[in-house]
Amino acid sequence: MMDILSTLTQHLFGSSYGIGQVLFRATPMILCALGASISFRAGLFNIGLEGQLLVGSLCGALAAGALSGVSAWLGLPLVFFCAFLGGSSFALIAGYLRAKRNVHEVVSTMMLNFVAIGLTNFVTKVFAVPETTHTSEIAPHLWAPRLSRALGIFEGSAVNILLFFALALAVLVFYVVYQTRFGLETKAMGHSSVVASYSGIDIDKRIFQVMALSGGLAAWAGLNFVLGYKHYFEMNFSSGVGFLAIAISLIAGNHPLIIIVVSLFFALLEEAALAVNVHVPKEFIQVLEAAILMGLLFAAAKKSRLKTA
Amino acid sequence: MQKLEILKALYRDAQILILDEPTQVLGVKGVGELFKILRSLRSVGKTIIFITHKIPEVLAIADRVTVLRRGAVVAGGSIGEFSADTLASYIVGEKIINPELFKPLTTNGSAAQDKKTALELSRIVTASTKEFPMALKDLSLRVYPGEIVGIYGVEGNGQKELFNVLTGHLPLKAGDLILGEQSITALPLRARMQRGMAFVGERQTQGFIASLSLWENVILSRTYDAALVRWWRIVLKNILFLAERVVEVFKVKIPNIKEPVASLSGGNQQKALLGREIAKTQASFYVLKEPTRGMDIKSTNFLHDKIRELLQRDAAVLVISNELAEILRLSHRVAVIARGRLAGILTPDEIQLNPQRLGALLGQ
Repeated sequence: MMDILSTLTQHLFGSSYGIGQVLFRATPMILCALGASISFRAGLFNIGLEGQLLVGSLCGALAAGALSGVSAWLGLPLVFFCAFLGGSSFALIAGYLRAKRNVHEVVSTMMLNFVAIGLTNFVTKVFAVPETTHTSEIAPHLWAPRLSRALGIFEGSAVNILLFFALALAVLVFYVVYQTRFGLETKAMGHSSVVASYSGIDIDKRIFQVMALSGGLAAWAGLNFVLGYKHYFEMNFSSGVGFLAIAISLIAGNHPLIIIVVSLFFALLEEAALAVNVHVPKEFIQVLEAAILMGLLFAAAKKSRLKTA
Repeated sequence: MQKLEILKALYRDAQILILDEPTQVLGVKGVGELFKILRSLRSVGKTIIFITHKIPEVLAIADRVTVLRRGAVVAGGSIGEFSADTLASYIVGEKIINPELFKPLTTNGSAAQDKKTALELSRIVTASTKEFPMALKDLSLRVYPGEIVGIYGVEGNGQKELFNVLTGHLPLKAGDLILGEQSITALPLRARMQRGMAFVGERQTQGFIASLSLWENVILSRTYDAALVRWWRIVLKNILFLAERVVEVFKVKIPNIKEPVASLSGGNQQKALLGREIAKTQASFYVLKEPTRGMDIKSTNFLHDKIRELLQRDAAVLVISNELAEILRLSHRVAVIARGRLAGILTPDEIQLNPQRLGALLGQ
């Protein structure tokens, strides 16, 4: 037992590599959970983040492949733009169905997750390097620089500048949510879309905007892998970040800054699972993760029930 | 559907059938069929209690009639003793002949009519939908600046539909809405508000979000106001100031404007809701639906005074209410609607002196 604990602490905190890896894992969680929080605040339960992440980051990867001859200053914004466009367009399918056809977004986004997996697998096969399940590597100047190279910290870890991008976005979302008309109206819509519509808020338009933002942020979460780690798009690479983000956002009460803290916590758990893999099967950590999640949600539900009583 | 329900009841050997507004969802043909079934049931000795607010149906099907108003029986007897007019005036109530309740307006409504119209409803036609069952049929009405027009009718005769036509939630099949000189038919609600329309709808479902704070609710219907939202950023200082003013002027009892609206009593919420809209000094046309529903006399009088004050800035007001006393106290003119049509326009004096005329219009 002590053995395991010492391995764990040694791995996580004994080296800057361990800390770096935790930050690397937290980056997509933050981005994706921010996407989740925006839709949850508007009362839209977008659980299709995983699919939007896959579609969007594939678009980003393909764009990066096509833009190899372009400088980083022009190329990277374009890659981000294409990824966002891919993720948001895919989310807008569910948005359209909700706004115009009154199809509940939980059903449509869940189904679209399967569509996304199939679609990205298919497209990846078309563009794949022979004998592999990934697209060809993108040009090095379009990679997101690792912090080890840019700042000389977290040696060996894949943590890259997208971490700062994610943190900055969390602050931006915080500002938008609490200080702007968009934030206020979206919150109102989440509480009562009928009253909101009689207050002059165009609910259909707002559904489109919120779904687009949510899907776009999910897509950027995928870029952490594509631009910052492997430098290509690989089939099913995201391993459930899109679903974990739902839990993170809910636990954080959809608060953009608390999302950072909760993401770090889950990233720590994931990295710990890898560290003790030799002694403890990593499935055990998954069970632990789920148990913590259930416990937190239980506590939150109990509190809110007390509040309404 | 109704047939099936009746069949189910008969199968259980029911002797007494109680039907509550059974014709609400039926077309003309369906009503005829239903009546045929009911008559045959009557002929085999069943008892039928038929609850409706539609006077023609009562006259068509009933043997005896009982008129209820505010939970009390006000009239009853064999159907032969009643006409559409007398039934309608019983539904409306003799109260209107009581002069105590009628306080004439100080402002002169007729002078207002020399001016341009504030809002014109021009031959409005809507379709009947599940949410808005009473179709509006060729409804035209002009409201002038400095005037309060009351909309009165038996409940379910198009009041809700008219309100939603004005907010833009119920699209027009034909006709035009003209605010000032500009058609607003194609404009969404926000654009209508920006052009000077203000609405007070049903508080819980259209007015306030109870779980949000008072200041958030105060800003909610005027986020287009540049003094409160500069570019995209909300100017909290100005919003809080405005919310405090509403609380003060409308005597809303609330410990803190950051408290959720749900913590206020219904009456205080209603005062705040009217206050929010009346505080829009740029607004020139008001649509108030049941502005004092469920409020005590004192608060009602207070809000009526506040509504009248709107006339001082030459605003036009449309009051849609089921309280005849309220309609009579506030309005310069009363537009009576029946079955989605404008049945006629009367002055409060005419109604007071001759309630039968109102009854005749209601029963149309």
